Amino acid sequence: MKDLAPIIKALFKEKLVPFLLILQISVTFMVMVNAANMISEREKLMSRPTGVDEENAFYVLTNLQGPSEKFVANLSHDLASLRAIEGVQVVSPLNGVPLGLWGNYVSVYRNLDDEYPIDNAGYYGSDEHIVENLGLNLIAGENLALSDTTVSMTGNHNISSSILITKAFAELVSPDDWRQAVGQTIYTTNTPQRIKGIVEAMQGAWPRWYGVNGSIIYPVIEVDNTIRYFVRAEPGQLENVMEEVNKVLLNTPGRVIEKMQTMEEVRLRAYKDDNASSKLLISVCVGLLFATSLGIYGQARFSVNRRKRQIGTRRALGASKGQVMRFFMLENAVVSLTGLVIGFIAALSLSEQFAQHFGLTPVPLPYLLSGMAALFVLGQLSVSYPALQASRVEPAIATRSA
Amino acid sequence: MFSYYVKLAMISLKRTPLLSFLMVMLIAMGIGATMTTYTVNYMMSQDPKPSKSDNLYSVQIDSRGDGVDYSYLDTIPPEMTYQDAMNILKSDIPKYQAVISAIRTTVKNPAKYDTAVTREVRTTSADFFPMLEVPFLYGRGWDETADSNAEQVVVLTKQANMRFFDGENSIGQSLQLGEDLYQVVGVLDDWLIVPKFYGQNNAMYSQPFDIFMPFSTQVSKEIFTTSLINISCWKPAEDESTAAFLASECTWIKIWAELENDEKKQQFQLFLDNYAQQQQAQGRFANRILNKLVSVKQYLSEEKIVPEDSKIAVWLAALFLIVCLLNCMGLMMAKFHGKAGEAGLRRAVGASRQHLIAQFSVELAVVGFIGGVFGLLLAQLGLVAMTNLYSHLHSSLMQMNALIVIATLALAVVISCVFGLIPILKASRVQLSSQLKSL
Repeated sequence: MKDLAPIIKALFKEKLVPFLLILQISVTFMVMVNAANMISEREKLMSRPTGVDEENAFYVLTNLQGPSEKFVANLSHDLASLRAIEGVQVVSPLNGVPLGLWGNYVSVYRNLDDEYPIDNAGYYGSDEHIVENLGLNLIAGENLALSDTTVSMTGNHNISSSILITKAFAELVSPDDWRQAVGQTIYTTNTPQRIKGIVEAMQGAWPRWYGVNGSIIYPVIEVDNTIRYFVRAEPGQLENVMEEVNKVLLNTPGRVIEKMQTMEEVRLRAYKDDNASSKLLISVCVGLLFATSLGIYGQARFSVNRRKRQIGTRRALGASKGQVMRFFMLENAVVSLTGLVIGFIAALSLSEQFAQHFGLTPVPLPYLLSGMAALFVLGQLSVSYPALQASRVEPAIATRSA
Repeated sequence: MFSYYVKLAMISLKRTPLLSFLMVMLIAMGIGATMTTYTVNYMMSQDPKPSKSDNLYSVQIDSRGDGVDYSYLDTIPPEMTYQDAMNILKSDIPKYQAVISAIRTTVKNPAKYDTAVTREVRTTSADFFPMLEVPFLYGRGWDETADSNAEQVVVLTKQANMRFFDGENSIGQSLQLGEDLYQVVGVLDDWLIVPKFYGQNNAMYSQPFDIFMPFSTQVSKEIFTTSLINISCWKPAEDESTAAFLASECTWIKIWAELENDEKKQQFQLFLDNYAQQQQAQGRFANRILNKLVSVKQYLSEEKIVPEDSKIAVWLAALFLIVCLLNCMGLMMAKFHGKAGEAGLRRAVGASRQHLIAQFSVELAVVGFIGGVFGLLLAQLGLVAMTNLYSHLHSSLMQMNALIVIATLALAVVISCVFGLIPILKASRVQLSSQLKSL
């Protein structure tokens, strides 16, 4: 440690080169910590449960053959033939899928003439099989029954029915105790709806929507010229079932299958932007770390080369190899720590800026601390080889003329 | 003199290959990352129609009734009701005015043995084509009579013409949409508008729809595809019939208008306000009178079309570039330190300090230029990677234009010289005597 004073003195004498390194380390730290925070925020966002048994589920978007008087009959025919397929657990019509990027929402009112709604909720219309079909977890109240289901020919959501809501929305309806929401009546599009049960989760259509976790399931089948069937297959049967469903549907003349997507594909598509920017951030971080360690290595090598004679002299005067090596490691430690302290402040202010302009959460302290530790270790590793080279300088070099 | 300095720079680069290589690579990495993210951001936020985007406006009126609370009271949806859209279209103040909607339907060439495919169809009015100066390969857009008679005509994109008619001149041929036959009146040439501001927000970076047909025909055929438009109704329709839907307070149609100058804009604004007052007299528009003409640029920024991630990525990449340059600056110090002898010799035989500064600057400019060239290559790789990552966006977003290429090279040269300033000044301040002694 007695080397510390001469090291600091030397750094002050050098000025520019150590200053550059300090600046570089602090910028690297600032960017890296904030990027890591952004990545973990994304991970959190993506790991929220959709509420659906994603592994075994898929949907198919297809047409119902007209004229419109025949829609309902065609729907029943489709459902019957799909349910008969081996390996199919449940099939329901469903107007949209969680995270499907297309869907409906409704404003929910506590009373008919309220000025302000409780909030907006995602809207799903299906039949009484929906809980079993999606693999939802009913945690309060009762499941829908056949007698609850109605059929609507338009998207006008003004049919009074018994509904299911998600726990997240139940907490808004009944803030003191979400269980109390069961049995209450709420109003959507001026129509009373009785809450029959509460499911743990079923996400809305848009992953970035503030109300993505609050959804309402209506036992109302919307019949239109296009229809979406949601299918849950027996575990491990997904591929076969998809093929079979395709075949069975195509038996109807005039059938067009617009889209067939597994829930896993839906999820991938929904979070594509997030995944992409995470990857982008990771590559920026890797690039930064590479550049910084290259910089530390280069500088150390340069300074070892320049100080060869000094090192030789020290060795000749009795310094051990270890002492010389320690000198360079310590020098790097001083530079790194200075850079990290500056970087700490810079990272906090950048995180503040991001929080203000882009609504990101500020970087938590453990991130800052572990980031500091990681960069410090990286610095020591980068400097270790040049330091080792320094320790191998022959003491005899001191005796040679320059 | 300049070419002599370039020659000296090349010699110097060759003398310290590792150092020079590191410098070039650092600049290239920084430039590559910055330009990759910048290109995507630049392409996303570019002006879709530079020649007239200042004159193109989204026509927005607030038709919501009493007792409707919207906490975001200043914003009105860019869609309007059918009755309002039809009334506003009657105005001849705008040079061009087009309604925008969309449907999805099955499409097939009835003359070919072929299965039907589902396609998205843009439904609009005659003015759409001249307003956006859409290029035609064959024929042209339909005219206003086709709109008023709800004629069964379609315009195809070049790709659609290739798909359904093998790329031949298909004017006058029939195309089957759903159960009906439509006559092809026009085929577009290659046409891309980025961002595709006139349609749905979530599809602004995709290709235009394959087929265009008159909006009036869509209405008369009663084809509606709710998943392609934003419908919001503050009051449900009277009943389930199409007539009730059209008469309802549901907003679902966009209108874009071209107003050539401020005078026209004011005239049109006045027209809208008068219209709203009329409607108020008839018991609609109880909420308030609020009509807006929103220019393309404003529309894109209000609808937050460029993702924030992409802006953040540019900033992070720029910081990365700075780290690379700081690093490079350290290497420049090392490099010029080794050149003290050469500098001393040149000074001794008569070169002034300015000469030395010029020589070293040229050397760094050469390094910067080579770094820029490699940076461009890296950026191309980066853009290929981005195209794969963001495969749902249009790939033309991931291409540099000539301006960006030149700007990249200029940026690389300038920043290397700027960051080299201190090392250069330091190196040029060499003491003659001390250096000459050791030679």
